[in-house]
Amino acid sequence: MAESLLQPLPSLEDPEPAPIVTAPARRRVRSRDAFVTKAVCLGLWAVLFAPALLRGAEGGPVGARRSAALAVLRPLSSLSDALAIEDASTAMMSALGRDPEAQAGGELELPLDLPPLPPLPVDDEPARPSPQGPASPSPEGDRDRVNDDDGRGEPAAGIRTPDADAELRVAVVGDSLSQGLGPAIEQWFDPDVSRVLALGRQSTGLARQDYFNWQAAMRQLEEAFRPDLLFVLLGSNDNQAQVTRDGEDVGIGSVAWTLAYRERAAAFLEEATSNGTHVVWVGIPVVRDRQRWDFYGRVNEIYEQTAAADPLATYVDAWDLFQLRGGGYSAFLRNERGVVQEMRAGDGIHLTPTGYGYLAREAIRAAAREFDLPQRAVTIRI
Amino acid sequence: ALAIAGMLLIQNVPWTPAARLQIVFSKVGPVLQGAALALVLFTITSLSPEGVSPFIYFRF
Repeated sequence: MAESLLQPLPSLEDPEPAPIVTAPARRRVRSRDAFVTKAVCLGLWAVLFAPALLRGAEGGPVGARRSAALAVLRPLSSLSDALAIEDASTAMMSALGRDPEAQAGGELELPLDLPPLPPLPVDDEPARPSPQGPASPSPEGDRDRVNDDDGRGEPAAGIRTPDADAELRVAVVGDSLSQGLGPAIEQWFDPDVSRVLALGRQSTGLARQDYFNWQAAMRQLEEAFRPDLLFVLLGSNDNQAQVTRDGEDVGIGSVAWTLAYRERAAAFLEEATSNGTHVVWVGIPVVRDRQRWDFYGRVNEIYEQTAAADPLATYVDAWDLFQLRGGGYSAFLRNERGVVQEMRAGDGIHLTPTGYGYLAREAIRAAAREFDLPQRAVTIRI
Repeated sequence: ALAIAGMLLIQNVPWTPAARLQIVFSKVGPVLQGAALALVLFTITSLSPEGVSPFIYFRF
């Protein structure tokens, strides 16, 4: 027994190992050659990658760093274009799975299994209300909104009653706040008669259309999905300079900034409602950081006024909804039943799932109040 | 697809061709060496992850 334990273990090595090919011996390289190699490598890479670097720099925050990067990269990109290297690098990037023309903030990604588009109104006119009245009256009858002095002056058709064969189309768009709102909205819609797309994109807004263009994304959504009802929640990232289509900077805090932002909000909403989509524009809720209050208050005012000017849109004041009775921020608030719940996330900006659920219910009730959203579409009492 | 195929191919390249490549590379001039390295660098940077750059917005 002891002898058998002392036997050497069988070798696992190959009895006839393949000849080992060794790497060539190191050879000395002159410093001048090494410098040339590095210079050619970095120079050629910079020219090849210049278009992509330029797009990335253009999407950066307005400031000295961005200006310096653009000053260096624009001539390089021009050189790349002049030498036809840009075409080659574009082809190479496409082969590597990149979209060289994609905007810095990415593109709106729609699901592949979208239902077929519903037919447009018979008279080939968009469902948007005309000055004479609604273009496509709902089966449930028109809303009783009268021509008042709120700037709208015309009633909007209500939202149609969905069924299993004609699902209600709902979408939620905006920044990361809307990324929380989307699933909450989806939670309260009846999946048997509705289809909800949560399409929020982190770090987006209306200020930097060169980074992510929500107006263009809205057009894409209208062409592919044409929602009956759209929830919008954005603006929390927009406290920064805008960049125009010409590449000009519009500084934050200026009158020009406010005018340009108002135009963008109106253009976005017009794109959204062009085919009769009803829009619930949710304002930014109060946040813990008081330094943001002034800016958020001003953009909320723009959203409210923009929505008020369109009969197919309405505004939900989330600021007041998430304030304490006496004003101010609190993570714990009473819901519609008076139950105190933790509504706010730890960062003082986002909401907890409970908070998003509360906000979603209030937004849905606003749609019911303003657009006659039928009870059949949702699972909560409206 | 090309990138995935390339990665699979690299995993199965035996050492001998790689060593030969090293020998060939060491014999060419510095300009060609730089150009070859630029293409490798371009491929690597093109394959780097896309997405939100953290400094652009406030990340919410």
